[in-house]
Amino acid sequence: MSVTIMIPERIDPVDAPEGDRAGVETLATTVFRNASRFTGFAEEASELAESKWYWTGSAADAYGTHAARFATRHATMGETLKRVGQGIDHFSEQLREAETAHKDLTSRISSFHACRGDLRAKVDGAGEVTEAEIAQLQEESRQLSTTRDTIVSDIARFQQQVTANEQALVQLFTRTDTAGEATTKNAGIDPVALGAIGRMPSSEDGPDAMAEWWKSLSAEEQEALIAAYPDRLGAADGLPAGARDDANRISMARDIAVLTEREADGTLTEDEKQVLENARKAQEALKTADDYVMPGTNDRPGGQLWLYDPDAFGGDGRVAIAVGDLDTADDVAVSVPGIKTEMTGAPGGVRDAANLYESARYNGDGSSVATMFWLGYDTPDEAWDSATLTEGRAADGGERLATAVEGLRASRAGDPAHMTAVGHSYGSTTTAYAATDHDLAVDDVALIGSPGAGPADHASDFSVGADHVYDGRNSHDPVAFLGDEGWARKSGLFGAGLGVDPSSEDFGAHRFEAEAIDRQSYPLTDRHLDDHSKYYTPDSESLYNLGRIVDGHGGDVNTAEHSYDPWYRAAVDPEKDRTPTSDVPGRSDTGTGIS
Amino acid sequence: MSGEVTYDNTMPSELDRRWTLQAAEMTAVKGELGNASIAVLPPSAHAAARAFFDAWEDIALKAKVSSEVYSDELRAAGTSYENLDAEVARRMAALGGSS
Repeated sequence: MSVTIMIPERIDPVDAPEGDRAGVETLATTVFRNASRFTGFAEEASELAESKWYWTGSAADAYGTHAARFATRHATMGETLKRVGQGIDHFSEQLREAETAHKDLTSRISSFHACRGDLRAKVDGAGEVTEAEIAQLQEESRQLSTTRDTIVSDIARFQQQVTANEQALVQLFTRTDTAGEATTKNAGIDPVALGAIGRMPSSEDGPDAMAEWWKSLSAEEQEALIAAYPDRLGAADGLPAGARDDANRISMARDIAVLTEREADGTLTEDEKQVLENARKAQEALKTADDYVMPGTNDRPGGQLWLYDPDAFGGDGRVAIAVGDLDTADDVAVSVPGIKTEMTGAPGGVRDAANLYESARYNGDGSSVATMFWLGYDTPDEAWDSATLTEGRAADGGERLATAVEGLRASRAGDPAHMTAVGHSYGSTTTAYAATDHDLAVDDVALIGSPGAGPADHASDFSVGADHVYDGRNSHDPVAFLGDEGWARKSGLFGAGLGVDPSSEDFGAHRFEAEAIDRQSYPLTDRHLDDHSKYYTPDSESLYNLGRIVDGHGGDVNTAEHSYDPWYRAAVDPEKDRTPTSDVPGRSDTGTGIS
Repeated sequence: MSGEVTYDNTMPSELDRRWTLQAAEMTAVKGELGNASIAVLPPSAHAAARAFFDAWEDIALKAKVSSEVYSDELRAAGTSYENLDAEVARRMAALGGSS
């Protein structure tokens, strides 16, 4: 009896997407730079049209009217050219994604061919075989055919996407290649995007409505919208993080190119100088996230620019950058920084996020992780800022944090991540406001170096419930001693303060070990301000325990004895007398970290 | 029409200077857009990209020329004002007799 075992056909190699990505990015920068020149040209023309301080009369009026029209026309041209730059920059991002997809397909094809070779060898080498062996070979053949079908289908989808990207680029050029088109309102915007933007809900409709709208769009509409309206989409709560990332990268590249041009020609205003600095710091931080590879592994989670708003809050800026994929990660952490953190501090915030990522993965259960540095609120400028002594910024920030988390949740409806909010310093008070007053939709909350839990008197006031509230306090951190503890409430004494100390036994949170490796002290005190900034230090107790919480295993943290305040003396922190550990497996070993 | 006619004789030189700078700016734009490398794009987009950059090079050229025209016209306006002033002065002086 002869038996036929089908060997699936080979798969032809797939052509790589065409185009030089770095060159395309440079081309986008060239277009942005010249868009900026057109805008500057139009602004100067507008000023030159107003020349009444030199002359008046009919001749002056005629000149002024003519020159003003000229200025308006060229201002529109500048906007058009800027949109073309956005479209080219978006194409470079699409090219990057296509290159990644091509690499993946090529790898899968190679793997398929290896399996195919193995099957052929088995079949060719088979002599007398049992029925069970035949069944095994047939099963392998069937599985290989299924694999082949999937790869072939993915190749077709890949090629369609590459073609669609290139066609969109062609249309971008052809829609703006005449003077008439260049001066038309909305020139350079894909009609598909114009149609879809009209159906975009307002932010007041909530992130669920935004998420539904996005899902209702075709892939073509989504791509066109990102290229045409990056500023609106980049901050839209409810959109997938991947879409926001694409949009924000375009805005950032545009801002840097345009403002660098103004910097070069000396026309940068003071406000623009700050915006440019913020944009450059965001770029630096994003590069850290993009390039991050977890030490000792091939795990390269990639970065996402989830929020980019460089001129918010009077120039302090808003930014959020993730290490990992917020759209797919099993565990998502949102780290909320505290006082003095501005957009220029993004690189440090992303390094902390990368360290937290590593800790969660290194000691984790194998689940995927994303950790985000979230600076979405207006932090007080200094420790002695009046805003620091009161809770107004924290209250406002808490609402913003809750909205941001709601947006993350809405973008993953049906695929919820385990989410943790980690608030540091004043950011812990902000997080407490979100969890107490705005039903913060996370699973766990961790407060570190907290000066007070804002409106919460007890951990059970938090939306997550007392059992999911954690606190880490380094006994040498002076800021963490600002909170109210015991019978003498500072808020009652001075009318100001940031709430109850969450490390105290009265508060009811799980206190975890968080002593800094190299604790410092000022003369005559047991504390040092530097110890306020060591909670994300690699191989520290704090980072270890935060990693366990983020990974969804808060029950495994190494607990610390609560501080307490006997009526007859000052508050006592039992951790002060314990020797801190570092790099101890199961206690403070978090991997290697980046500094 | 304005109710009054005034003229500051620094107008032509100042506006001429600034429009000349405007023309130089557009010359730079023309050069950059004209030299933009489209070879980095996929071949399917080369023709459209070439047409686009050619068109914008032309737009920049027209903006440059327009700026120069403003310069020329404003200089000419200054000359006209000064000529008119001189002509009127000459005619007044030619009235003769004693006032």
